[in-house]
Amino acid sequence: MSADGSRFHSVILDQDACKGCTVCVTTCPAEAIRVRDGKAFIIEERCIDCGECIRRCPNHAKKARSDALESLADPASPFDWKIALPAPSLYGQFPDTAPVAEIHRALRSLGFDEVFPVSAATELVARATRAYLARPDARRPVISSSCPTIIKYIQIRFPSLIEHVEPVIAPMELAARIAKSRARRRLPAGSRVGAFFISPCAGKITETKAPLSGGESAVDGVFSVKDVVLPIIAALKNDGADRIEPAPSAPTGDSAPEISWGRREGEAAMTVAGSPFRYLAVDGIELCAQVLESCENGKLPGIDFLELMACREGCVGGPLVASSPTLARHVLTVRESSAPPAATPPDPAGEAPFRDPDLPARPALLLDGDYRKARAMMAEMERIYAELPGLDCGCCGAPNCHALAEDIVRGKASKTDCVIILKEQYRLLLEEGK
Amino acid sequence: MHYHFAVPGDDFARAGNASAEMKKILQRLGIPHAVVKRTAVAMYEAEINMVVHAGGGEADIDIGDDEITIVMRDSGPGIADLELAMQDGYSTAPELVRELGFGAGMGLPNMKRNADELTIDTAPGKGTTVTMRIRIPGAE
Repeated sequence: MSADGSRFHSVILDQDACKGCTVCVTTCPAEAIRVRDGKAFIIEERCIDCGECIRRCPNHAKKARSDALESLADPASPFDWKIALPAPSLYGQFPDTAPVAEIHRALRSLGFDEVFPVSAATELVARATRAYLARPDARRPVISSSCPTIIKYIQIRFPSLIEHVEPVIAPMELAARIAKSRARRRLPAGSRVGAFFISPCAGKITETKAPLSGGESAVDGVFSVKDVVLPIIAALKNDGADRIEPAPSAPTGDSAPEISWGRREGEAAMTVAGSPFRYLAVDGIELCAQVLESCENGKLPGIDFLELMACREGCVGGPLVASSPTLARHVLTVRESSAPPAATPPDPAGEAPFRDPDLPARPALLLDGDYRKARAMMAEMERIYAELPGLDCGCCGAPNCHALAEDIVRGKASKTDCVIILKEQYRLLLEEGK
Repeated sequence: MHYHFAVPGDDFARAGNASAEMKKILQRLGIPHAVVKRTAVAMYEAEINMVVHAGGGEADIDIGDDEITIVMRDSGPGIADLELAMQDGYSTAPELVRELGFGAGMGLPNMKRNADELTIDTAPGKGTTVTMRIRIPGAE
């Protein structure tokens, strides 16, 4: 199956760079990777776009399907007005001596006509969430919809919690809609306006190609944070005459609560500010899984809102950032300490940040749609598992012995893929030959 | 199909592992989400009870054509007054356990709420066996 054509995920493999070492296989939290014929292979319906394989691959063979920065200068571009939408996590990548407004100017100099910070849409999202939290029919705890990886994880592993996910769109999407509608009102009729997200993660790339709640995204392209960091640093140094002034109408998006969305707990704190709601803010997929398990068991009494971030420290820990997550989080909090304390949200221009509440479950673990057949496969899986060594070494190309048993039952692997079993068979053959 | 889990009595951190494991198995079988959740919650509560009150025990799960049967067996102190124990909020859990956020007196009521059928065989000094049945809708 072609990774490039996938609607489900944005992590792709560089076939030439992959050595088939199984590091990604055994560390994938979704158990979505196998090594077959010496190359890693992503089971696309299981991939949650967390990017852990991008972080782990020793050969840098895992990449995200972001756009190349050179495409901005492409004369054949379908857009004649290009808006950059930087994620708040971008501000954690540069020393706090470079003000947010300077980073925006530097970003604009890379070939954008306008910068509309995603942070400027956070207050509207927080208000919508607060309004939803006040509704008696909201299923508590309400789960933030900001992290697409967490939502995918819920769709696959915790489908009974789908109805806890708030029916609110994420700041990226809202920012794109507002920025484009404002630009269209200002620009001559017929202008072709494009919005480009500067992303810390692969999950957001998928979100622009195939939004979780269906429909089309207003985001037209995605550049990774790490691809813009060096050009921005170069532009920041060059504070001479070629500096470009920001578009006059652009919101600053540089208040403390707005930029705090780039780190863990920023969103939750802003969302419940001035309300009696209680929240938990959780970062890292493992801790998120534990909290979701507690949530499903009904063991989170008194919690109204769950901010779940798949990456450690929040979005500053995304797989497509340049700086270390802890340092980037630190830089953000330093910026917050000297930033304006309150946001002034832009005119929402009639854009309601709510989405269709229906999210489908993704039965990626299902063995077979026929219950009896699935049960027979499960029984066979347990029988095979009992014969496997139980070392979970990953040498077979599956993440553990259970996964190999499952792959065998699904007809995707065989028992002799296990090196221990193969060695045993080889030994028996040698003895027979004596 | 049969599954067996030993529920360790001395490791609070592992309480809930068996029900989480069962959840994954039921998802692979395509059991409806609501039924998976009810099964997991009922089993989780029983696991916690075993750890808190009985020093652990054994969990046996049968996945049949049209129902899931969970048998949780321990050799703990038994339940002195079952009627009282079934009431919402009644708890004999020690203070230390309550401080951990457990022992709210909702264990048995939650099992009853989530299982289609709950039978408890218990007597002081003889241990407790909780049997829960959960029907699988749509399976014939």
